[in-house]
Amino acid sequence: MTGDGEDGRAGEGVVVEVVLFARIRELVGRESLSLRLPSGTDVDGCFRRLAERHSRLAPLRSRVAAAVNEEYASWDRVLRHGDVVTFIPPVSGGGPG
Amino acid sequence: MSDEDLVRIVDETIDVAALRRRVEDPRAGAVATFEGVVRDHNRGVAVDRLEYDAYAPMAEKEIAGIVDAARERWQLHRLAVVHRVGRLEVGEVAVAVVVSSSHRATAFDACRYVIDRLKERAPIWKKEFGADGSHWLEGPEDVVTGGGAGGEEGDGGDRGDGGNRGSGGDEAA
Repeated sequence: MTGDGEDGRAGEGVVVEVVLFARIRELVGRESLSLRLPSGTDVDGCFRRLAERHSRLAPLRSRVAAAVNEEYASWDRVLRHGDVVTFIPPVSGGGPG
Repeated sequence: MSDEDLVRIVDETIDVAALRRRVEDPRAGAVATFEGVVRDHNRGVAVDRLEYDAYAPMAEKEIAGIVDAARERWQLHRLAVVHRVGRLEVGEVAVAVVVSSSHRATAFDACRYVIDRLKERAPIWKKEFGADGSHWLEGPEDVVTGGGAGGEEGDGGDRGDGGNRGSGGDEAA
């Protein structure tokens, strides 16, 4: 199922796929979803969009790391159309820090 | 990572003996093997089983990067790193790191380095099932139990790399 297309005219912005694991997958209830985001949205903005729809994610923001296209990424990285984003809950060592 | 190294996320029983054979090399005087095994307790609570989840393509990339880093630090012959996902019962092997080198100091050091870094960086998570229900183990501060780090192995990440090796029921003491 595709995501929201409701935040602007169809075709604007970028569409990213968000893949979910572990506790975040359980909280959202899906393995993955598509988000249409305004152009220029960064990884942090993507998380905030996800947390708007799933409020129980919001407190996790300080405890997750972000990855884009299977590599760790900084929160201010601007997303491009077709990017695959994931949010990584703490692994046993607390993530890359 | 050399062509002969093996890095894989699997969903079946890990054949550690096969990994051991895989890293054999006539030049290698030492083989060091680490096996992470599901144990029956964590932080004083009985554990029935674990379930592992992984972002497999990224985990394999991260672990390959860790193998590359190990190769830069030490002279190694071959490495095999396999992590299993899915449901694991007590006693099953969740992760194996097998390293061959000419001499033992290198093999020990590289093996430890790889597992320590894997636990810090690889997007692999474990969910613990026990008498008090189930929860995802998350880092040194496990939200459910509120416990601190390092209860199991007593070292609380004192290697300075931030890794907590006491967070889950998967390592033999």
